[in-house]
Amino acid sequence: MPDHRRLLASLVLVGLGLLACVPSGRAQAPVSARFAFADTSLLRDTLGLKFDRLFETADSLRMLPDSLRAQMIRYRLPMSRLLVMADSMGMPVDSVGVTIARERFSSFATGDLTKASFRYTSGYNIGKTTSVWTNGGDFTLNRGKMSLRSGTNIVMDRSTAGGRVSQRKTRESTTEANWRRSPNLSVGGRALISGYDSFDPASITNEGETKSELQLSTRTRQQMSRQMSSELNMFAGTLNLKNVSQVKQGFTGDVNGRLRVARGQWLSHDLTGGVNGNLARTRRPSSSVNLGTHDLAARLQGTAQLFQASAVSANINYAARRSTVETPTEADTVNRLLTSGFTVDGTLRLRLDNDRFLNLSTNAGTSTTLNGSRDDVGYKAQARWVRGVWALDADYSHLIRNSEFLRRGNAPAYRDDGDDNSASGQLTRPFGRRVTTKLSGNISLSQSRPRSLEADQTPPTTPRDSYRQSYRAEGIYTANERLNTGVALEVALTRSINLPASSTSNNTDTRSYRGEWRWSYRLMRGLTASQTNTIVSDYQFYPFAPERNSLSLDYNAVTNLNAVLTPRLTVELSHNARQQPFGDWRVLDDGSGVLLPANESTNYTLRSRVTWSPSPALSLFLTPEYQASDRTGTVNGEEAPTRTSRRLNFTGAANINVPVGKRGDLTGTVGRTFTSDRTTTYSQGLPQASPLAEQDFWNGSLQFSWEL
Amino acid sequence: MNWKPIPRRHPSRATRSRAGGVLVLLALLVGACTNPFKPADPEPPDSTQVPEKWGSPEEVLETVALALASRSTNGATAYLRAFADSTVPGDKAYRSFYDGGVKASWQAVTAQTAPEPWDIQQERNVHSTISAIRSTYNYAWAWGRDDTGSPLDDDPALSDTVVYHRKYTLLAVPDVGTPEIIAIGYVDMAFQKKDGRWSIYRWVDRVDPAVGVNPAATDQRTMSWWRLESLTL
Repeated sequence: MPDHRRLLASLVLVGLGLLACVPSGRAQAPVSARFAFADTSLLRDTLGLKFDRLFETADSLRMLPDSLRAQMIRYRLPMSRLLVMADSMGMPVDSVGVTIARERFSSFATGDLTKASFRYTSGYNIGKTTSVWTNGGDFTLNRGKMSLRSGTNIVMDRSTAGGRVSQRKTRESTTEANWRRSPNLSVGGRALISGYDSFDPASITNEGETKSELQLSTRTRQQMSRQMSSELNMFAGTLNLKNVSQVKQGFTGDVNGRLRVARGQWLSHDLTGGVNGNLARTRRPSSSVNLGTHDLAARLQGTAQLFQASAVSANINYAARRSTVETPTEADTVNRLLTSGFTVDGTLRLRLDNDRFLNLSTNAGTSTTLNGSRDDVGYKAQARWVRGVWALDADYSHLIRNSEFLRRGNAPAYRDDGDDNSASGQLTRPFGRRVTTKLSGNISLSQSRPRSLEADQTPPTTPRDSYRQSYRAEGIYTANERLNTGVALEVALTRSINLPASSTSNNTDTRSYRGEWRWSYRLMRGLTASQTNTIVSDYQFYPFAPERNSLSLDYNAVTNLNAVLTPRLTVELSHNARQQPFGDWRVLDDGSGVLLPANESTNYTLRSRVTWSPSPALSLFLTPEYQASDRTGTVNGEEAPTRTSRRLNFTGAANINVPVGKRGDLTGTVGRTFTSDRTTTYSQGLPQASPLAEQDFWNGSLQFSWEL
Repeated sequence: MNWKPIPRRHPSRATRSRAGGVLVLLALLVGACTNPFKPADPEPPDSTQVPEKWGSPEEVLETVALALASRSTNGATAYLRAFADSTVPGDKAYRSFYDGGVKASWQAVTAQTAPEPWDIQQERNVHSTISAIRSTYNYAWAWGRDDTGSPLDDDPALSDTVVYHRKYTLLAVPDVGTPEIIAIGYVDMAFQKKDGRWSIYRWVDRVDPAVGVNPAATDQRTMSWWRLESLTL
């Protein structure tokens, strides 16, 4: 008899050896192998923008791919241009767009040209029970050193519920006139007017507010040297506020500014801050007693980057805020509400290149709100090491949080001490050009220990731990450009642990097993089929109440067919089949288990979308969808239907992108939706009559913009 | 080209001993640390026994009251056993019917669909949901007289299936402070007797008109509400 254990050990060693070496005669794996599992839908071109090398670029910039993509789309900037601008402006990529927008409306950036511009936008969104109409106008006039800018926005909402129509109107307008006295000094005035009205037939009191601030303004900027610049803006004027809870009149002021310091390649520091507040006489609308109140809000925020381009670099962020708001009470006294907060975090980066680095971070924060206070201290380590074809990512974080909650109702004041630990690792390795594998694991523990701050009282929450661990192995095989497939297996354990005896009967250990197989095959030019199959089983064990153990299963298959029939006509077809049995799980004496079926849901969905784009200005689409769901239960010891549902959704709509004249645009979607739904419930296996529910309504949104 | 081979170098004894020292130090450090991912050990559950009596509908009601007052596993088990569990064809299966207004309110608030029908399977999490409303308070469940003009209770001596009408109230009593009502409503209950054992097979829930569907004290809910809330556990 051969010794199978020795044979198995030898096979494991040989297997590990094969895994550890680069197959001879094959090319090194491409650099992008680490991104083989990334969400490739982010790479789809849109608005004339391409997203080639999105993952690699985002990785090197230490930002999320979807964040980088969002920046490009929002500001309509190609990736290369965005990167060049960030470099030339000496700021992070995600600050470029904000800075451009700020400078566009700066009174210092207009020069001495005479020009005027006007832009009007209007949008109308309509849904089944809601409609929103927005109107906005922006007017800018520059004449020599004078500039005038005005922006107005009005939003009107209507919603229907229970046969009643609620309306809400919000309006705001900002007008500012500036006289540029020198390249770095501008004076003027501004008017901030806003308000809203809310009408709800079901409400006894309908709310409304009007607010106006008229202020003198001074804007300055300083360029102390090529590496140091600053801005300081001051506003002071009058305040007039009236709403359902208070009438406030007085003086208001606002001082804000920013400072940027750069020292060669080793230091970059941005600091912004401001103080605003008011001194006012305040009263309740129904009272004649005037009260002296003052509101004050201060904020300071900074970011410092040290040796950003070096192998050892550091990054420090800090922010502080404090606000005081005073409001009149029913007893004609002043109620003061204080909130404050301070956060700081720092990161030390040790970096050889994008594939070999170690980041060590720490953060601390404290905040005080109306409900209590919270203090946090955290540590984090993140590392990546790529050697040959192996890529290892690992991170660990630890957060200590202490919260204190004030008494609310019958719940006493209490303190909650928390401690969160989490660690994860991911090992990726390609095998040749066609196979990429990934092994990942996670473990986390969150602990909460509440205790009452009042004598002889118990806190409203329970001391508890939440634990989770999971392992996932997956692989992708790319046979050629037409065919790829992937499999994954995931095993997880989630434990919910209440500590006191009064709650431990609800403790659960959930063991989850998930298997996944997906493939995509391009049948012919313009026709691609793909399918994802998953099977999930969740065993929920009650350690102290085994008679409540349960098992839920989930079989799911999604099949998609995408066809580009002509450059202007595309058809997408999707079918989803899902079956979810559930029942008690009994562990037998021999250690095996058995499922006692209690209920089962079966759902099928067939969905298609046909899109026809006769011109760039117009595209039409139809989306019929049919859903069938059945649920069975156990009635009198036998399986019987408990609920069936059939639903048809049909939407037809047109996308419009039409130029109006030389300076106008009309864009949006207009469509009509029809739904038909019949749900039947069963009692003792007998169907209960239910009516057919049908809905038919227009929906869509249209935006019109016109620029002079 | 005359390539000069790179001589193979072996780590010196000092290097090896230093590496060994570092490894030993690392092992000692790891060994000395407490495992940051080790959860705490929970206390064993309260093993207070709930006397289970099923000899009459009144005894079933008393058992339900004691089971809901007890936060123990035994209480959860006793509570569940009060309801008919059809395991044999022909058995009556437990069904609960919501108060219509409460169901509509819950669906509006949660944007979920209330399951129909509500059977013994869904009832399994109700006891733990109710236990968690005031997890550190003592509970007292009281059955009261139905004063809303319902018919008189059936006589269990005359039939194996009877209908009772009751008002129910669940009080949460803190160690210090004022007790709170955390469940209140009316119920029409149908009992069945099988093999000498009574059990509940219908629970038709009704809101207390004095409290309303949306009570001022937000936890003064009907059992319909707490049953539906148990779905979110």
